[in-house]
Amino acid sequence: MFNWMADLLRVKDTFNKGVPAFTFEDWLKARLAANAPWDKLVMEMLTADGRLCDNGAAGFLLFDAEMPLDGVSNLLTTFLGTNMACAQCHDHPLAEWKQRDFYQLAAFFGATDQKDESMLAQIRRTVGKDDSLPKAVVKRIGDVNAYRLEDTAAQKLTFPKDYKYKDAKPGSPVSPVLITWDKADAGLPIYQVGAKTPAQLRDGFAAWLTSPQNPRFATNIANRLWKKNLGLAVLEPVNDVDDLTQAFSPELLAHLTTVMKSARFDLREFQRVIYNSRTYQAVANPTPDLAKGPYLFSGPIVRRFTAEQAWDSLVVASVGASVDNVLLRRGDDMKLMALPKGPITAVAVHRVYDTIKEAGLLKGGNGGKKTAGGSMAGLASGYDGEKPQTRNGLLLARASELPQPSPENHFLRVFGQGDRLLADSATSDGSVPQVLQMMNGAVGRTVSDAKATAVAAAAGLSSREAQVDSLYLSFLSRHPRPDESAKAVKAMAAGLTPADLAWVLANTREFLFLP
Amino acid sequence: MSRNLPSDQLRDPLARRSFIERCAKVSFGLSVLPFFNQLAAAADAAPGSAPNAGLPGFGKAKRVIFIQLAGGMSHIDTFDPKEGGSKGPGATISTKAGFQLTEYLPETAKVAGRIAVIRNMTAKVGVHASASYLMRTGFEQRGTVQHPMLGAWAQHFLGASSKTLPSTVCVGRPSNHGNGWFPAAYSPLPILSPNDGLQNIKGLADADTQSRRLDLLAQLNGSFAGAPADENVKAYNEFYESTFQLMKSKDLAAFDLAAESAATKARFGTSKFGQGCLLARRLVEHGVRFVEVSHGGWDMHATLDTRMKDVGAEFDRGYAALIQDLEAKGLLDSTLVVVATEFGRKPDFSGGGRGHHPLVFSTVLAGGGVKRGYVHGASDAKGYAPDGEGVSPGSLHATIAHAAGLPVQTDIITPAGRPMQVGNKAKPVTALFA
Repeated sequence: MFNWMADLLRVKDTFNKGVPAFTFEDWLKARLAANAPWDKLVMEMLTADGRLCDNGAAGFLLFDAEMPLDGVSNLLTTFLGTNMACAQCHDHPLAEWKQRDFYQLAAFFGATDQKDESMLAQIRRTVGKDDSLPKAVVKRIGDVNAYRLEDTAAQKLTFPKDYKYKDAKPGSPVSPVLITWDKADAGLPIYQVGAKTPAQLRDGFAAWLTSPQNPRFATNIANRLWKKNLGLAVLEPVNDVDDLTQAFSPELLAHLTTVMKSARFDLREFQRVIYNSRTYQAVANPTPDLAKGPYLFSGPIVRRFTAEQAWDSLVVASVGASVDNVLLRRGDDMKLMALPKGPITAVAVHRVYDTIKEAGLLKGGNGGKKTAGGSMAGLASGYDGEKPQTRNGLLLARASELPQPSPENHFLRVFGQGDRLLADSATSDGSVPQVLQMMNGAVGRTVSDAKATAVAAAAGLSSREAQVDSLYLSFLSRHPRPDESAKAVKAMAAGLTPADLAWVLANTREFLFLP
Repeated sequence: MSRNLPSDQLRDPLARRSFIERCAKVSFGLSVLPFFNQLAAAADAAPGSAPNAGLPGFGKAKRVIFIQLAGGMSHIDTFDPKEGGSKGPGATISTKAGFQLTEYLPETAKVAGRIAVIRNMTAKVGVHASASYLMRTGFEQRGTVQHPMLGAWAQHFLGASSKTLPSTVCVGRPSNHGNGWFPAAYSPLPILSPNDGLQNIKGLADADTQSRRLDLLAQLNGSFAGAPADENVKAYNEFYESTFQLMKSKDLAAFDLAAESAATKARFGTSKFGQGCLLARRLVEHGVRFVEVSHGGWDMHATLDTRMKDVGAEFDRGYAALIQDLEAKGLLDSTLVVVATEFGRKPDFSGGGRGHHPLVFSTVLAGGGVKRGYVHGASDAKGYAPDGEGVSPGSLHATIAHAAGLPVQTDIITPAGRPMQVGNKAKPVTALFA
């Protein structure tokens, strides 16, 4: 669930200017482990206050701290499946959304400030010329402390100076107004937002957005989870569910929405219902040709492993289930950099510097950059519990316990892990570099090494038949059919080893696809 | 906004459905057949019917080499020398083409008669990451959409350029999601180090074991790969087949600089950039359509007086050798070589360097039907602003796209349902073409 949600919520080790954001991923891991309901999670993210280093939930909105309007656009897509990105700059060319609608909605975030510039100025004033503090460290301490969500005294969003429509004056202040999908929506009780002061705007918006009465909130997450599990959403694309009549089956979508509401947004419970459905348990169909008509879900569709599923499977086959004890938690490093509240003093900055120096976060002399995910080996100090093994240059931990996202040439990214710059950026398309990694790269080497757990387990068995059976269970989660067993045994009798068979099975299409 | 897709058509439920289905095809990978993606292209207008199809220079460039000078090349100290207060530390030199360069570019001066300098590039973004995104894609960076680079646009409209090699390669830099909204298979293949070439191309086991592994793989894979007629499984079957072919392909030589003589390698210079230019030449010779070569070190705030000599020389040798080689092999007329950078640098030279300056800067085109020995536009006397209207990054992209035979000012619909145009609606600068 973490990997899926990390793609949706754009979980990233650092925000655009290299600002660390580890507390956000730590927060999400903890909340998912506690099975926090979706409406509660979203509420916590949208109403978060305070510094990112103290409150990980603030990470979602702070991702777009430099571009708050893009942030609004993104959260609408993520939580409501409303596609207003076009309306940010002009009336939507293909839908009903007007630029005015977008601004009126964005005004709910117009009384929120993201970056504490006055604190940064204080740091510059107090220690800017202090040569005993490395500049990079001072910058990092500033970054960690500056990003925060704080309500301001007034709502300050105005229409753009070059606003070109007649429905508002360029440069004039925007009044917050909620959007409706249907004329009847406006009559719903949740449209009575009780925001009396600017500080209550965001809370009022979040209450409207996360309510079961919201016309799209439950539908959006139900539709997305259906796609996660069945391979195709009921309404595609998932980032545009404004028009419910476009669903393959509007009735199914309405039913899933009801299930989501009766599960009270408990995503585990919702998925339990899916897993127990005859639809999910049916034989998977080939990817349908949608040009020939809607897909009516006689079963799931054949779908490729996500990058994380493929990687995690190969890691478990290489080092075994003990990998579950390897946990990457780096938010504490950020907390060590928190300055005391109130006016900034040179003494306080020095104290933080001494603390992080003592904690070993400055090795390499670049202000704790080693924990930012630049080098895989440099991550070691971030692991709680067991440290991961390194083989053939690969750090063998689950995808969720590696840098978010992985570096661009890593197996995970080559297989389509998203860049996390945009929501829903993961892909499952194939490519030649993927096949090269699987056949000839470090991953192929690691999983077909005599040391690999699955290979060693098979090699310890006395008969070739048993070895083949064991490797089939490890890689394909099933027993070989008699003809498959016979072919594999024959090849092994002619000289191939369990390691060779591990390589072969990892390279079958069946390994990569969920039938 | 201007668009060819009438909104009435999209409000019509049936039309909307069919376009969503088209989008769906791309997003589910139905159209992802390795190297031979015709489906997506077929959904759009044929390039031949585009508004720019009849204009000078259309489709002359069969290949594009896109050199990206990272950090911001000072136009005044390279391709647009100034006298007076803006003058930098390097002397101005004359070329036979009639325009002037600085002494940092002696080799480029020798090929000046084959290149066209655009001296009135103009943009508004002065921050490295977003300016470099703009120059690489032709679009301003947004938080809601990832724009493709030109190689992916070309693959969308023209299909794959080679049966065994990728259509787009980037040398000396990661691919940075250069496929944008197009299928991942359009993503450029990154070659981080030109001398190391293509990674993971050698099998792990000895030849005999490898062949027995592959034999068993073919036997065991059959039951699953053949049974459900799933398009994505079939696509993977083809990717495996393509990989087998690539591993034994003669085209692999394209990635191997060892095949070049010591004298040739020396002519390009031993720098990573010089060798990258040589690799780019080999790749386009073997059928790669679009190669990006990147060269860092141009962000000279306080070090222009000391570092320009070295950084400039690396670029100068590699670039001039590339132009000479392409000409000698008869490929220059059909290969467009672009020199781009994220912005220029300020006219006031202080503290040993210059600050960022997007208002005016220079880019350089050569080959692919572009005029030879030509200067397009000018900056003012100080090198502060364009003299008259300038050329935007979008126009530059539209110009390259035009040369490559892509339809500009023609909508495609992204998987998210947004209409987009290569070059972001800008017109190509046809005055650049012979």
